This record gives sequence, C-alpha cells and structure tokens, in this order.
Amino acid sequence: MSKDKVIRMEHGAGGEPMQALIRDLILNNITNKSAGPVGLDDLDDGATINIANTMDGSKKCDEIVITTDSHVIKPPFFPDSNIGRLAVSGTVNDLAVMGAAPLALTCAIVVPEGFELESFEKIIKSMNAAAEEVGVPIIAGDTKTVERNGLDSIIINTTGIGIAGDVIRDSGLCPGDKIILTGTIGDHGISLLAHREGFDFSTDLVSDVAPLWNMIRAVIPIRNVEGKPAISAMKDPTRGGLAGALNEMAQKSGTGIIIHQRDLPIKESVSSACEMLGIDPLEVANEGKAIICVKAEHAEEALSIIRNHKYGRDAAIIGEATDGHSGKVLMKTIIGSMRYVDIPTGDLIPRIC
Amino acid sequence: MQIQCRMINVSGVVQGVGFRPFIYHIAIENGLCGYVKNAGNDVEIVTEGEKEDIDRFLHDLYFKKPPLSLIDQIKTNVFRVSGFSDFSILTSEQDETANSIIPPDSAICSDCLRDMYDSKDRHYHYPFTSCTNCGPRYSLVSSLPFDRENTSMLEFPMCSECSLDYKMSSDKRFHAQTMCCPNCGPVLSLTNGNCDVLASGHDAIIKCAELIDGESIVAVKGYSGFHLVCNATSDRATLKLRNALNRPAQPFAVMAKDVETVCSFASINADESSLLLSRQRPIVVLDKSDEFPLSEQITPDLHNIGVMIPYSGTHHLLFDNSDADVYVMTSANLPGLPMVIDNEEALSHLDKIADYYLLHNYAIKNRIDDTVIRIVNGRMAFIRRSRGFVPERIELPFSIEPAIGVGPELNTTVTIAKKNSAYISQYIGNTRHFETDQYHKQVVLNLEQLTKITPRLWGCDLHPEFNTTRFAQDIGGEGTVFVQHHHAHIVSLMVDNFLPVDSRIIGIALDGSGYGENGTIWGGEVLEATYSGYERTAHLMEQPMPGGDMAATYPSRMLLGMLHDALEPKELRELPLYFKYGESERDIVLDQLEKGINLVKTSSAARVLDSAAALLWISHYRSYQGEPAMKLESVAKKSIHNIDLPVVCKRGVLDTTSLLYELYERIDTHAVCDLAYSIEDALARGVAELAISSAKKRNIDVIGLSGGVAYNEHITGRISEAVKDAGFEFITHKKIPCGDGGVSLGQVMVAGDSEGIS
Ligand SMILES: [Fe+3]
Ligand SMILES: [Mg+2]
Ligand SMILES: [Zn+2]
Ligand SMILES: [Zn+2]
Repeated sequence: MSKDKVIRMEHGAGGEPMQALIRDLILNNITNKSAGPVGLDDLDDGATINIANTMDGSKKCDEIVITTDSHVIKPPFFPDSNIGRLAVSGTVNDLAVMGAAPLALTCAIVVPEGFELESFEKIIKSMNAAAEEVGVPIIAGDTKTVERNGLDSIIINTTGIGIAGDVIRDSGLCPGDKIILTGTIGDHGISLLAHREGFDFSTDLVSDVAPLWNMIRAVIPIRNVEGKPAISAMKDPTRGGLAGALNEMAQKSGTGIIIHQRDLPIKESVSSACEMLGIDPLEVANEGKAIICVKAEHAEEALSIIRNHKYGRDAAIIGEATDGHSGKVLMKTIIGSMRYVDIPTGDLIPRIC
Repeated sequence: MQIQCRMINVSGVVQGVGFRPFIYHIAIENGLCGYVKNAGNDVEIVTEGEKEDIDRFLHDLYFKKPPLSLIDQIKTNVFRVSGFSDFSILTSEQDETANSIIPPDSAICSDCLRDMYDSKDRHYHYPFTSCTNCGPRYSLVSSLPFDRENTSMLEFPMCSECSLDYKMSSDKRFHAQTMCCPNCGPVLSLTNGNCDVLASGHDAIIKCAELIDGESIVAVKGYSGFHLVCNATSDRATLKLRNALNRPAQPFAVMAKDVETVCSFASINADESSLLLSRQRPIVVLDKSDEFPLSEQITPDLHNIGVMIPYSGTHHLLFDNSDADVYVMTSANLPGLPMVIDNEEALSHLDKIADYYLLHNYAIKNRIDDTVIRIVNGRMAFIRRSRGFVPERIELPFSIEPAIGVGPELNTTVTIAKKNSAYISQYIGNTRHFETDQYHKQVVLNLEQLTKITPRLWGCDLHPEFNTTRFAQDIGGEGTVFVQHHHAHIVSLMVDNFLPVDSRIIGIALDGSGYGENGTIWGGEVLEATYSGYERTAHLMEQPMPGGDMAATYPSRMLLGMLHDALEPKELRELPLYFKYGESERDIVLDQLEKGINLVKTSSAARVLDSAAALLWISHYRSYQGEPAMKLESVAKKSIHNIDLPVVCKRGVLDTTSLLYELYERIDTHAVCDLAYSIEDALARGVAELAISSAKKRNIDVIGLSGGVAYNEHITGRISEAVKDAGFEFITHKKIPCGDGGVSLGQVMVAGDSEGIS
C-alpha cells in the first residue's frame, strides 16, 4: 500500500490533508447533510435542527444545536486537569460558541484493558464536575473495552444538545467588528507539551481547559438599538490555535482581520517557552478560550462583562475585521510592520535565509 | 544619383536617453530627410537620401549612440520614396507590439554639474538640472513611451526658456523629457516633523548641511526614495539612528564627497574606483582602512563598508555646504517594510527617526533602492541590483515563452521574460510583511505594463508558505511552475554565463535555506543541472535545527544540533555559548534534540558558518541577514595561518559535524582568526571535492557556484582554485546577484522553458 493511500497523522492535524480528507471522502460521500440552517457542509462548531413553529404561532422560534467530539489526549492526565474535564468542556464550548445553552450531553467511552480503575473514576468525576459547573446533565452513555494492544489510552466521545435563541456562526464577521479574545493564549498546548515531554520551563503553567457557557451566556443578550444581537461571530481557538481559528473566520466571513501583537494576552512563561522551542504561540491549542466578535459600539460593554467572569479575567480586544485583504489575517507587529498570520500547516518549515 | 528611402526600427534602451535628438543630428549631418519618432517603446526612423549617406547614417547610429542608450536590434527595410523636404522629430504614438524598455536612472553628468555651478546659468544651484544624458528615468516614469506627460514631470510644464532649449537642436537638452529649471521645475524644501517649512530652494540645502554637520538625522528625498542621513564621523548621531531604526548592528552605507575622500577611510583599487564613478553610482563594498576615521557604529565588527559618491545635484550641493565629507546614508524604511518614497508617508512613518526632512515636490513613481556591489576575486558581484541597472534588459541565450518568476521571500525580485529578453525588477524586500507583499504585486503589474509582456507561465518557489508562491498560484493557475530554490540559483548562473539551451553543468548552491524536495531544508547542494531539471548529486550533512527558524536567529542552537552526536552531554553543557534564556534554554534545546521535538533537518551552508561563529564567540544573535557569517568572514580576514582541518566526504555527503568537531578540538590551541579562516577554508575544500567528484562521475566539465555564500571572497576563491586545479571550467555570476535577488530569473527560465520551447 503506497504511503498516500492510507490515513496518516496529518489527516487529523487540522491542515490541508485533513481538509482534503473531510472534503473528498466525507462530505462527498454523504448525501443528506442538513436538518436545519447549519448543516455538515458548513463545518461550523455544531449544526442546527429546525423544529416546527411553536404552537402559539409566534414567528421566531429557538433552534436546537447539536455537536459531537471525540477526545484523545496524551497523556490523559495533565497539569491541573484531565481528559474528562476536556471531553465535557470541548463539547459545551462548541455549543456555547454557537450561542447555545447546553441541554444535555451523551458520553461514549472506549478504554483499553489494563487501564487503572482509579484513573477511570477520577476521569468520570472530572466530567461530572465540569458538567455541574454549567448545569448540564449527562443523560446517556456507552462504554466499550478493547484489547490492550488495540489502543494505548482512553477515548471519550461526547455529544451535546443545546438550544439557541439566535444561533451565532463562525462566518458572521462584518468589517468593523471588534474581536475579543477571552484570555491568554497557548496555556493548554504548552503546559501539555511540557508535561508530556518533560520539558522543564520552571513555571507553574497549567492547562486552561474549562467549560465557557456561564461566561458566554452573559454577553449573548447584548443587543443594539434595533434589538439585533451585538455578537456577530464566535469560535473557540482549539486545534490550530488562534491563527487557525481567525483564518477560518476570515475566510468563511469574506472579511479581512487585523490583530495587534501588542494587545494579545499571553503569559510571559508561554511566550518564553514558545520561543525556546521555536513554536508560534498563535498556533498553539487552547481549551478554555473563545473568540467573540462584537459590533464595535458594544465592544467595551462585552469586554467588561467577560472580564467579570473568572475565565475571562485576561480578556482583551485583540483586533478588528476589515474590508480589505478579504480572507486573510494580518498582525500589526510591535515594531510597526504588518505580518501575515498563516494557516498552521502542522509542519515546521523554516524560511529564514 | 538615386534617392532611396529606408525604414529603420531600433529597439533597446532608446527612449529617454536623447536618442531622437541624436538621430536628428546625424540625419542632418549626413544630409538626409525624413523623420524619427518613438513608436511604443522602439524608435522608428524613416530616412531619404543617397545610398552612401544612408550607410554613413547607419554607421553613426551604431557607433556614436548616446551614452545612456543601448541598442539591441536595428531592423532596416526598403521603403517607398515619399519626397520629404526636411528631417523632423514627430510626436510619439502607441504601439502594443514593441519590446524595448526605459533606461535606468543615471547620475548627473559633468555638463549639467557645470551648469549647476555656473552663476550665470539659469540652472545655478538648481539640483534638478538634467539633460538627455543624465538624471532620473525609471524612477519617475509611469508608462511608455518615455515622454514628459508619462513622467512625474507632467506636473511641471516647461517655462519659455526651457521650451526654447527643448526645441533647440544644438542644445544638450534638445528633447530632454526631464528638463526643468528654477522657473518651472520642482523645488526643495526643508521641514521639521511638524511640516513647518524652515527653508526652501538653495537655502534648504545650506540649512540642511548645517543640521547634518550638527548631529541631526535628516530624511532626504532623492531620485527614487528617501535616505536617512547623518554625519558619519559622529558616533552619537550614528548610534541615535541605530536605536531609532531598531537595527543594533546592520551595516549602514555611507556617501563620501568624492573618491579622494573615500581613500581616506577605505582601501580602493582601480576597478572599485571606476565602479564608484560609473554613472550607475552603486554602493561599493570596500575594505576599511586600518586607521578608520569614521564612526565604528557604521559597520560594527565588520572589516568592510558600503560606499557611494554623490549622484544627484542635491548630494553635490549638500557636500559643498557641509563641513562633513562623509554622510551615513541608509534607505529610509522601517524593518521589513519598503523604502519610503512619498512626502506624507515620510512625515508619518519616520517621525520617531528623523529630526528634519529635505523634501522635493515631484512624485517618485518607482521605488528603487541603491545597488550594492562587491568585488569578489576581481569580479563584480551584485549584492543588490537596483538603481542604475534596473530595468536593463538581460539577453537570454535562447527564446522562451512569455513568463514571470515571482521570486522567493526574503530578498525577492521579480523577473518577466519573453523570447530572448528578460527584465529583472528592482529589489523588493521581504514579502512576509504585508506592505512588502503589496509592493511585490505592484512591481509585477508595473513590469507587465512597461515591458508589455503578459506572462503565460508563472515560476515560483517550492516553499508552500511563501506569499509569492501563493500569489503565483492564485494568478498563474494551471500555468504555475514550481521551481526548486537551488535549481533556480543554478539556472540564473547558467543564464548569466549565456550557456546554450542544452547545457549541463555541476552547480554548487550555497546559501541560508531553500525548500528541498523531501520536506527538508536545503542550502549546501551540488546539483547536476540543466535548464529544465536537476539531480541532487551531493550535499552537506543534514543537521537538526532545534525550533526551526530559531536556530537561524540564535546560532548557538544550531551549533548544539551539529555537535549533538559528537560530544558527551557534559561537554555540550560546558560549551561557552549564548542563549537568550540562559542555561534553561540550553537544556531545553538539548532535550529537544534528544527527543526529536520540533526539529527540522537542513543541509544549509550558511548554518555551518553561523555555528562556527557561535563556537568561536564571534556572533550569537542574528539581527540582520547573514550577520554571523559576515562577522566570521571579518574575523577570518585577520588570519595569518591556515590550519588544515581534515574534511570528511562520504557517499556524496560532507560531514559538517566532524568539521565543527575539528574546530572545537582546537579552540584552546589556536587563534580565533585562524580558526575562523580554517573553517571557511575546509568548508570550501569539502564542497569543491563533492562537486569535482560529481563532475567526474557524470562526465561534465563545467562547475559553477551560486547562492548567497558566494559573496564570501575566501570561500569563492578556494572553490575556484580547487575546481580549476582539477582541470574543470569554473563559472560564477557576472550581472546577476548570486543571492536570492537572482532567483526570479532562474524561475522565469525554468517556467518559460517548461513546455520544451526553445
Ligand atoms: Fe537562496
Ligand atoms: Mg470545535
Ligand atoms: Zn546632464
Ligand atoms: Zn524652466
């Protein structure tokens, strides 16, 4: 079997190979792909389901939002957190960034023989704690075991159902909108890497994994004078980091984005660790952060609400959407020039001559 | 006697160089009637007269042509006699099929200088004095033909005196498109940062010279962009400029009043002197004198300095009014951004850098940085080919399809070509930056317009993340041709040496980095190359770069990578090296190397030199391109004794780990300068050995060298020596930069020839 005829790790890395896999082998082979305004083809954080108009005949009705995610992470326990908290937070956040309150979760676990029961229980307790935090019940589940050489660690899939008055898309960005990032970047990816590979950065950096619904629900009600939602787009910068998420938003929305390096919240320990390893912090995964795009006139209001929440204390307005350079993300650097923020490829390709 | 008529079409650099007036003169001299006119970007001549007179005319045309002109082709056709009664210069007409191009900018000529210094002439003290033989050209043209209305001079209608000169066939300004005088032309003004005009005209010069003599930094608008200028003997001013530009060490160029002054601070030979004085007025990189009277801040830790002499009237007048004989003169741009060319832009972008602004009021249409040339082993090597040379035509050894090469990323240029002609753009810069990327796109458009070539094939780099690559793909679509970086270098070398279409050479490409074929980064390659393809026959050992580009920025990281397999962990930790984050960074880099995290492999030659610079405690941080290797070269210059370091080549791979190890072994027993010299020497010998054995195996008798490392005089000299000793022909660059400024030419050739048309 030739090398390009089988699944490679790049197929899950978020770059072009993964996009091609999804486009050519998944989207092309599924015929019925939508049950409401947002379907599989949209490749948003989740999808929506149309429910027939409510009995009382009011025109506007809430929408059901559904999302699913399988979580694999090496190692399953990492600084301050574990795969259980991640599995619940990831799905809650996918609902939250679509503007949906989580109604219920399901949970399917695949675990290899030999996995310690004590660890297993710890993971389930963490799932519960995260779910309790945002008041979402876990209402159905499935557990499978496989032989020890079939899998080397635990896999948790969660599916979430939510409900939204106004579904918020990752494609709704308009020129002029301000872009709020709800906290520091890179904490999760760097702390995980340090922990997994035993790098000694001599810091107490921990993962940021957290369910964000309580923070996001506080800004969703902001309306303009006409009663329209002030939030135009949201996304969580997980795999592919801030760079990946912003590029996707710019492309889907058909706007440009400018962010300001000076305004990016980043911990000193993360930026030095990134520099020492030669990693771009913009490309590092986060699990407890959201990108929230707001009409400019409501940006300060939204920011202060977010900052009032414990997961949003370091929130900042990091940039804005623009008319020009549509589909591209630029960063105004500290020295004053403008640099392209590229879509992460997952590969390290030097370019300095 | 029989009257005959000829239609003569001349192509080449024939517009904006006084060509039509010249034709007028020789036609009258030879008693011919008819006309001359610009047609598109050719010149069309119809002459009527006796056969001998027409022949004499053609002889004069070829041998007496104006100094700025360049004739590529003269086509003569028999024409029906129409009975002209005189010879006239007709106005231009548009023609879409032409293939000539406008001339490059040229320094003010001695005649114009004389007028400028003649108190009775109306051009007295007027810095914009120019004639058909001199002055700015490419920098102020917006479209063809080269007539006043297509240049920045459109804004300045000629006064009655100038109009008279323009029509006077005996005047050197007869039909000079850029002609002007104080009554009708642009004016200088000196302002502060608030736009307050402090002086204008000649007073602006006097005041400006005074300010520079003091310790002010003045942004001076020139032919084709702004310079930042300060007094070169002042440490304080130079350091102030360094800090303001955030360039801790990058060498600044200087401008000296004249060649005599240059001799007071640099050593100079006849070739260098004639280069300095040439009408292109490039920056020439010269060795500093042992006694160096200028500020050491100009080129810190380097043995050489970039020098030019005045080329515009403004420069001459400034020195006339200045106590200082040497100015620091560096392109006015923020790091990574294109040079400033516009007055408002200058005032807003340079506000934290310049104290004053010496402005003029015509618009610069094409931004052109100064050309930089170094004489390497008796031959001219273009470090940057721009003002004075662009957009001169490069003749190709064979015909290609209409194509464009968009260049790589860092020191990119663009080349557009069709049939036997290629036009390399001015220096563009680093297209990683948005502003420079926009400029790159604009240069592509301008070049298409000026050459009237519509490219069908788009040559670009293999690097998937270069904006130039993406741009080529977006526009070129099916016509995109990916060209491996080092193949492009070697092809540019083949064009530069006018090798015929079916040539096959062994090409050595030594540089910082280029995307290879297998996802590794190349940079020390021996290729068996033709115009259409190549095979990698040998290379430097592939070495890990911990953290990718971080290893290029901090050479100590690269060194740890190279010595990782040769030294014990304890020895590695004891190496006296600099790390930004100190010991903890060193340990993390060692950890990275151990665990294979975030590493990428490179066979780059520049990284070997960088590593040696780190090991010898010569350079620890790259604040500008090539810094560690350039500083290594400067230290090596002082060497008096070569240590013959053993070189190991196995199966086409030069073992650079053992090379660095040999250096490490001798650190305590030899002088740093000798060690620096020896590593350059050993690298050169090793590379030559690889190339020679490839050439022998493949039965090829020409070996060539390209890539940025070829600017290193010692390395180039040693390779040349070894190759020639082994009985092979050795070729290097002549008119094309060996660095990345030449890559677009290689790309255009490979793309334009990609369908097998020749
Ligand atoms: Fe190169
Ligand atoms: Mg998601
Ligand atoms: Zn002149
Ligand atoms: Zn005039």
